[in-house]
Amino acid sequence: METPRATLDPVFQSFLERQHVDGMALAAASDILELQAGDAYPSMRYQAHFKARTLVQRHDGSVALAEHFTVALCFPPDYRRRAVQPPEVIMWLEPHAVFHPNIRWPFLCPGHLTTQTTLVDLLYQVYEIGTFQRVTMHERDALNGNACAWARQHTHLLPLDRRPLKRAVRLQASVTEGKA
Amino acid sequence: MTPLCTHSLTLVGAGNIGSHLVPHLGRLPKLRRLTLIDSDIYQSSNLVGQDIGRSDIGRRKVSVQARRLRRIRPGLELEVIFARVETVPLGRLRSDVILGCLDSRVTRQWLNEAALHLGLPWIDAGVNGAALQARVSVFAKPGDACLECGWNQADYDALERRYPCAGDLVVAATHAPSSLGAVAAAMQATACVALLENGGAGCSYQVFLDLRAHAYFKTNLQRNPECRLVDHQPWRIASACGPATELTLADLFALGDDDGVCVGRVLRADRPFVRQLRCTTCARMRETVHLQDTRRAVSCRHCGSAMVAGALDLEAELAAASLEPRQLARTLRQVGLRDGDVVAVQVGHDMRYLEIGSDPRPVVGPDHKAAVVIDGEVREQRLVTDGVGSESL
Repeated sequence: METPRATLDPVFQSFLERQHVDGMALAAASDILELQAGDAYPSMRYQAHFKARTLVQRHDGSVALAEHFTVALCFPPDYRRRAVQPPEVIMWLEPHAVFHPNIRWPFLCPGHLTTQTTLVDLLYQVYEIGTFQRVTMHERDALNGNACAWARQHTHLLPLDRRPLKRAVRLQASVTEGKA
Repeated sequence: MTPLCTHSLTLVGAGNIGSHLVPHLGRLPKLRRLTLIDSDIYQSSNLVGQDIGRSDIGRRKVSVQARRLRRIRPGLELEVIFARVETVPLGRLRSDVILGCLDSRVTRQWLNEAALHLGLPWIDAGVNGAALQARVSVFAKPGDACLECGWNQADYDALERRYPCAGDLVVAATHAPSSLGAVAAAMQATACVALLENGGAGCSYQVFLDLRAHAYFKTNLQRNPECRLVDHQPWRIASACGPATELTLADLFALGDDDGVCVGRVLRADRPFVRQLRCTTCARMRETVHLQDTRRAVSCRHCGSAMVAGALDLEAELAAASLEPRQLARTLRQVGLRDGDVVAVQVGHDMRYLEIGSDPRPVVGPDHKAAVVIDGEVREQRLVTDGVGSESL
């Protein structure tokens, strides 16, 4: 259930509207990202589904590929004013058995979070972390030490997905005859 | 103590500045009561910059300073709170002036908003050890400039955060020399006396001292119409007329309404409400309703693993309509609220502010007993008086 609209101040309302527009534009321009907004507009909550590879750890301890992952992204009413903590903003949903140095379900440690961090910033951070394009190699900074050690031993396999989140713009080349 | 001793103060922070400020406050002739708040313990590294001795190492900062005050003013009413100020019920901060001796921007922001809501003047002090600079900012009265009036986007971006991978928030030590803390403390004490004597009639201002350049600047602070704290008016806080252990959520929603109707009402506290917990291993979920960070670790009934709340499980507000009867019947204490907490109940377009508890302050009598609050629980302990009795702080 989303926070009642009556509590939003105009600055935050405007911020949310921009996030909705920019976030949906990114999703429309991506072959990887599906973005779903919460009930009310502009939404304070989003669910982002990435059709990209990440890792999971099976019950027997072996590490395997997963072909997609899903996160929830939330903007609390005081997001622009307070040092809102990352666990209040980002929540890893699926796969539950995710195996990543920066993730301990349901918490994900993002790269950097400020009062200006936008939805698009968060989507890029989550994508880069989920696909191991961005990963911590030191246990002191990690939420999953075992995954950290695994990543150090398997750097040749990383990142798992090198595709850019936003579809590359295809330029139509036209050949002009005549003088150069 | 005489009938002329009428002033009460709240001091937050007993470090580089606070440790030097304490003896000045203890010597204020009209001081009747002092509340000390700090969550830290003195380390050996503090000997360089803070007004302590070797025997104070390993002890709670508030306890050490309370003992000092007892030696200076045996009859002073003391309340000693060993906790982060952000976890202290708002009502417990009430005094004539709040003094902030903090090293964290986040905590300053919290304290500024708390003072605003309570309608209290507050004085913030800070130092820059590397540059040998000291600053004191006096926020004289409600409606005047506040701390955030002078903030820009860079200030908000610089707010410290707790990242899940980094454990507890670690604020960089100021490494300020003891002398600098002493200068800031003297400036703060002087400003406090002036504020008390003026009865809050003066305007808000900031004093900046550069010891290297021997320069002194005073700036009158102006209210910023673009301040993100939209309303600079204090809350009109009414008593909830009952302790947290007896009042229920239903009682809170129904307050001030004769027919007890609470549908459509919304409750807000100083932090989000947790509405759901999830097992970290089997992903099972459990409904709940309690304030964030107010419950001890919960284990999954099926597999025994820890249950946690993610971003989707938090709600900034609690709507009466979203609660089942058994949840409405929970006491405020069970939800994580305590005596002294101030909550907001939205009734239509009106906002009502209620302080929980029938007595807004714990009793601290002239018999030299101080209420010591540890982990949110009040425990009374005997203090040294005139050198007699056991030292138990």
